[in-house]
Amino acid sequence: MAELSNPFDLPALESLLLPFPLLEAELRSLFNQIAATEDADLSGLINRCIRQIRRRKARCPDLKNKVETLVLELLMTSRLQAPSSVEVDRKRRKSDDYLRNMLTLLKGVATDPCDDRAGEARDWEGHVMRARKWLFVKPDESAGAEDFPYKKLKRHNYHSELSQGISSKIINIPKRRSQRLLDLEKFGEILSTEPSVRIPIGKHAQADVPCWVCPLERHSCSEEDLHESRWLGTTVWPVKETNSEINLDTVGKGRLDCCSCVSPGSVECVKLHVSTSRLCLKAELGPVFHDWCFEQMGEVVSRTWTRKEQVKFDEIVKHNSDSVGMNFWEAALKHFITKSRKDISSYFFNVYVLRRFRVYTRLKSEAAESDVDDVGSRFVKDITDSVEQHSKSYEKRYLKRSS
Amino acid sequence: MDGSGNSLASGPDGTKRKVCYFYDPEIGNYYYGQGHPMKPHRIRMTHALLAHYGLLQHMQVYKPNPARERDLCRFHADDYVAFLRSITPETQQDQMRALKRFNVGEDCPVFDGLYSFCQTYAGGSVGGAVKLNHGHDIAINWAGGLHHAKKCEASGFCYVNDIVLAILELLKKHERVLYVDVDIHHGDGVEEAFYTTDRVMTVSFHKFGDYFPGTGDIRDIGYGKGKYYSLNVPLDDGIDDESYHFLFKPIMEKVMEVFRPGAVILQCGADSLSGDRLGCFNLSIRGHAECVRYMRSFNVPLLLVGGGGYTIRNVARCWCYETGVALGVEVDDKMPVHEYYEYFGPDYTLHVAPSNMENKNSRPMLEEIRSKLLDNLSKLRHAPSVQLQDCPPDTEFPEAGEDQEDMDERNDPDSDAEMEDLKHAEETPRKYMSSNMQSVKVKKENFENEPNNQESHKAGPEQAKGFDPMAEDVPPMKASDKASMAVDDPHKASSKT
Repeated sequence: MAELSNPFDLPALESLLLPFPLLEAELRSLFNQIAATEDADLSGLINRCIRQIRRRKARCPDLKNKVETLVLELLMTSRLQAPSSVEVDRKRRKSDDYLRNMLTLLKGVATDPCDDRAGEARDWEGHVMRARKWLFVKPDESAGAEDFPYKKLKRHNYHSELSQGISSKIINIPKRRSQRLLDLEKFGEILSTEPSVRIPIGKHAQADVPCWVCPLERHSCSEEDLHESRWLGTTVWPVKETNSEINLDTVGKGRLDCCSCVSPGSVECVKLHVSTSRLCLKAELGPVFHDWCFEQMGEVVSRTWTRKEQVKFDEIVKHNSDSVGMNFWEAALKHFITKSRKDISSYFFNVYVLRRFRVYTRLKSEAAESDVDDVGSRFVKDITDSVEQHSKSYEKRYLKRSS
Repeated sequence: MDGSGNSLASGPDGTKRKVCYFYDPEIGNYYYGQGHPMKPHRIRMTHALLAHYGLLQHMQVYKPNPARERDLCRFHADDYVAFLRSITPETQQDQMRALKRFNVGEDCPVFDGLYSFCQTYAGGSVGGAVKLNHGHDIAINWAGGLHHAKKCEASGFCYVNDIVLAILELLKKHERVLYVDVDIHHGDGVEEAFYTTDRVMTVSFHKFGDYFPGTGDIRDIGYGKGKYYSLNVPLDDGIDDESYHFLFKPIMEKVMEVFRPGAVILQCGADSLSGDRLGCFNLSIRGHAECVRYMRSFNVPLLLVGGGGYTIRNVARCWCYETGVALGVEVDDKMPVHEYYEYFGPDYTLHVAPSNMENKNSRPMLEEIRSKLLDNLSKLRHAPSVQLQDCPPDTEFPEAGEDQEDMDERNDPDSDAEMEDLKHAEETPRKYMSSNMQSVKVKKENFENEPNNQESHKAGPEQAKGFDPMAEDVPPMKASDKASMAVDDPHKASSKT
């Protein structure tokens, strides 16, 4: 069996896959299987591995392509570099030779179908047969050469047809694959014929659905009613039971564009309008403003942090971004011993991320529109999702990397 | 009458609905961990936006009561719920086997307050279901919609399946409940939970093919008594509003016609929006909200829950707009200034234009999917009537005695057992059919807002001017800081290691 530890491109894998230890094990076993098999058609194995990965792992836009590319790349490397077993290697080289010869010939025919080099005609067919044999039949299986299925196929003598003067017909053969077929191929992904992941059936999977009993026939059960009432929660709004009609004139209204600030749209301008708007809301909601914890929303959260603490927090996030394998969260918890996890999460989303967005917006950076804590995230590396760049960035999305 | 009632208390005018909304002010503080795309903070952002648009003030707003352990066990396995209750970030090292068994730790991390987070969002969804049972028209719980959670394991950022719990609650009052899922990911947890029953129909529109969670094949149609009661609509990258509704509307119309649910749960996962961090669809917020508008128009009690959505400012935009749709209010594009206003720059608008990405869903493909699904639905034509008085046979295992061996095995559509079930499915309606079995055409409103009539929204004029870095509370960032934060360049990101 070929030695496969070398060809592993570890950094590439790490950036590619999120929960690394498990996936690494799976991929290693996949590669071992690849190394052990003579079968050059690996799609079955790859699909199986992907299915395993997919069942457990998260949402990764093009996991299959990534893994497939990686596997092919590694395969090529291992074929070139891994002569651990002389026997296997000899066979490989032989099959590679057959393949190479066949491909050279095919290339020649493709570039100039009319160039019938008579001498090569028989040889060409032989090459193909040998290559097919090496690709699809394991040595022990093909021992009974009489039963080799492809031998029984009727030979279509392409070269003799050519020499009989029908070359023009062949040249004018229309494109072999119609748009319809291409479309059908695309369906392959969605309407494929290969069996899908099965849905488990049994007590361990399905919910207990009781028989339907019409409520009119149901004996009223006070315990159930009691149980039901506890689900209703606490009414927060409206404060008093009012029967007010929805006033379509004020509901759903956005901002007015007039503003008497010196520089409309500036940081100070926005801050001013946020606080006015909050005051209005507070007046409207009364005590419910506190019930909904509006005093813990937005930049006002920074009031409970000293300026020094805020500067330190920024530094910690900057120096412990996930992209360098650091965890700002733990570092922040360690540093701010008086702050709880909740305090830190609240400050992060209400103040830190908000300020980052503010700066991005003002710098008019193309990359502004991203969730700031996504920087170097183990889930998605490239998360620029500005509208303009969406299609581009979509192509570039990465899978999760391990931490 | 079955008492479930297909028309709403607020009358048929199609605009006003009695809407209630569940929100727990603690929800925004739960944190899945650094770099994790799921951010409950988005629920808080939505809430702030709703308050400043004046939408909250026109709903009944409740703080949910947390679901108790025994409530969660109405669906989930006892040991799984006990595990969720006991696990903490500090103790997880001692429970490696349990973590693996329940699929907790990677996508579904253990974080501070995990169990109370589950209790809160489940409490909101079940509370919403109870409200519908009590006669409300529409209930909303944006914290819910965690559709991947399974009976005995966590999956895809979901721990407890609040949707299944809400459906079980609705099933007390309604003979049939419909579940519709517009998250970009297949609603596998809900489908699986009700795969063998004909009392719940699940319909999921999702990206299919090399995508999490891998289920949702068009050929997965349900099993046993539940055959034809699961509907999967597989879609490809870049689907736009028009293509989406080419499928959504005819399919949902037919589902409503033949299944005639007493209540509907719509999972509004916002990761099917254009520009989502983990998604690959190209829906506009209007296109997404059109699903809400359409389902609302059937005058059937409706529970709206959240779900996925990883570009959080778009999630807040979307769910705010959809709350407006639920209320029958068209919300202004220009956002009111509010606590999280800065998240929405530089345009500060509710709507964002979809991208110009390629729509890989060709018309022939969509047509094929549509006709296949409508064909499957036509096999449901003879759904049991609402007049049905008899208690249908045990929904658990229609052929329990005969298929003992197959009980815990994965089903094989070609097996004999399946043929038996098919026979069973065909017999049942005949047995229970009532005299006035005519399918009732569901009353529907007319639609004024077709998604393809949308104007695209251009960048607003209020681009930031006069930025003064010194005015910041924090020291101004240097250009180099900015470069390290500019995350569109993978080389930059990787060069930091």
